[in-house]
Amino acid sequence: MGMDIDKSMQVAFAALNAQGTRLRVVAENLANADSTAQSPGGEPYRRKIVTFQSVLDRQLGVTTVKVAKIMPGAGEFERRFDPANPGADAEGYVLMPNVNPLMELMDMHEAQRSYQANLNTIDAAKSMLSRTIDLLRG
Amino acid sequence: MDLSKIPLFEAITRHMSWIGERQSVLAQNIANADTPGYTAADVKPLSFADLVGGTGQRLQLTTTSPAHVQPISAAGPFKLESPQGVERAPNGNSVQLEEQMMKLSDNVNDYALTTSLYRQQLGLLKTVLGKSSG
Repeated sequence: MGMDIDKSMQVAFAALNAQGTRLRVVAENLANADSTAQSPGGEPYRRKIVTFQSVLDRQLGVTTVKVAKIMPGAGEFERRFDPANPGADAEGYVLMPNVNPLMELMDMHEAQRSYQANLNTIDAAKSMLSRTIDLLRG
Repeated sequence: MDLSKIPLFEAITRHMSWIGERQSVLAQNIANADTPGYTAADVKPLSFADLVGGTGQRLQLTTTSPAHVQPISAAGPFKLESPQGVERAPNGNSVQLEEQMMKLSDNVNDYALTTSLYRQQLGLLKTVLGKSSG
């Protein structure tokens, strides 16, 4: 019984970890929204995407979640006319990262929502544990 | 005194471990709310017969030697079920956070009720024994 509640907390902690990684990647994407190439013909920053995977924790016997892969996101680089940029090609165009701040913000909100849900799980487990301890008071 | 010999206490204890397992299953659902292809599960509700007769649990392998190992799976002693005909997200995930949160708070309330019952019964016993009741 106490084991189960403990397990539920471990699962939630693993999920907090995964969502934390997702938030970190969103922050990286947003921070690099203007990172162009250093030399002509080079590629600018490519947005990263986190994928999740459910794994069986053999020690606990529960399905937890972990970050499966951080993959480069597909998408066209936008061309912007900026001849003074060191990354500009012969025609004066420079490739901009394929980061869309709107999409990143949405992803951030989703991560936040999931994070809160998992915090709620921990809260629930904690209140159940304290109920159990209260039984001792008779 | 062995409290588990008293049917009511046994039923309460079984219900508590059912709630514990449900908590763990709900936590797994919520943790995997963003995992592609994950299917939400729930513990099968306990019926009165389950509480009294000790059914509703999955059969476990018997270990007759210390060298025997129990199979490792994400399933506990209670039967799990996955609701059919639920809406899935485009990535194949069937977890609805709102529903899970509702179940979670239900579960906490159930647990509060069960522990109160346990305490009440214990109080009755103490009265019988002549100690001050809690």
